[in-house]
Amino acid sequence: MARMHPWKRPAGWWLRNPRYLLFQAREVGGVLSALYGLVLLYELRQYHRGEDAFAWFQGILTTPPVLILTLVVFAFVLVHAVTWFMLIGKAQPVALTKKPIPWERAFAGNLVLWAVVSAAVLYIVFGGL
Amino acid sequence: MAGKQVVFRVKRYRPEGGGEPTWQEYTIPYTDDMVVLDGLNYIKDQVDPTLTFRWSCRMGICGSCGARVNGAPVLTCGLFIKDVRGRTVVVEPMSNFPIIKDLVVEFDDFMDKLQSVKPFLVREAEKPVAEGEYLQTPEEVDAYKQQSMCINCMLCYSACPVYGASDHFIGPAASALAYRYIRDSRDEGAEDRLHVLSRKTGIWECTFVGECSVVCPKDVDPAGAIQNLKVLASMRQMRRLLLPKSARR
Repeated sequence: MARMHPWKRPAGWWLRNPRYLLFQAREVGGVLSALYGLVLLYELRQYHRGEDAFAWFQGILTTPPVLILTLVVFAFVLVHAVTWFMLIGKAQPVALTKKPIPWERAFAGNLVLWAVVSAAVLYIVFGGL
Repeated sequence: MAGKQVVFRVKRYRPEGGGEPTWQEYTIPYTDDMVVLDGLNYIKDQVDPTLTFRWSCRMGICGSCGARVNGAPVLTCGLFIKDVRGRTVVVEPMSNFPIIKDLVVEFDDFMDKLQSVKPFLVREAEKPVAEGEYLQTPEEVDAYKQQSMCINCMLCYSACPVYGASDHFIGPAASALAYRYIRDSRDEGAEDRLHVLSRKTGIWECTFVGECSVVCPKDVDPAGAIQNLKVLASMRQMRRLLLPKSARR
């Protein structure tokens, strides 16, 4: 009897195309950045509890395994941010110009803005303002 | 045809027996002006008449010869054999659809979804013929021209991992065509379409992988259309929340 063969998504489908892999990395980066937000909130809580509690948590954050983990999270968050910046120009619901802005230009503009804001934050945190 | 030869590795599925699809290899001669579809037709005409696939216009208009070639969803009439990477041309049916036979897949699910977004001009009341055509400026045509190029080839569905994971998602082409009619100044059916697109199975399922726009042979950009639809759907929802019924349109 004739019958159709149903579609089954193969395991590891996201390894078959580099853009799928980048997409998965972007999604993982989103989850990791949310989790790191919880770490920051907990750090704030320790700060509220007092100097000893804060120093204790700072000590944990600066141990080599946690530092390596933080670097991995940072890498994923970078991928998340950069891939979203790449997408921003690809959907332009509000027309700012007569012709749509090329996505590469929107991407570059966002990168520059990101660098400027990051530099300002770093200056405020470490520059003694 | 003598000279260069190429190996076609084609996925076969015989519905009579059921079971899993199998691979079959054909070594055929080719010339630089042959596209993958020409190779498949050579196999069917000269080597194995049981090989089954869809095709019609041979010029990227009808959208019926889609398949996965060396892993990428393409129109087989638009890809030269000489441009295929590697020595073997690996041809599979499009991903994310049930296989009817060999390279022929079933599209009924898409047709139902397309119907649901009313892919035609909707008017609350037609004006009398004596009043003439519905005129548009070039700018009004430009607003929907890109999405109107869709040929329903389904490559975007084949490339979409969201649709592959959950086939209740309305998908890229149906969304792009909905957007095409919403942006048309002659149309008055935006409310109904946005209602369908705002459901759980609609545009909010899209995670903006963007692969649909990469593989589209007509540069329709379904991914961009879906993101724009998200903005329109959000504005519709805000209007429903904030405005009285009489002022919503």
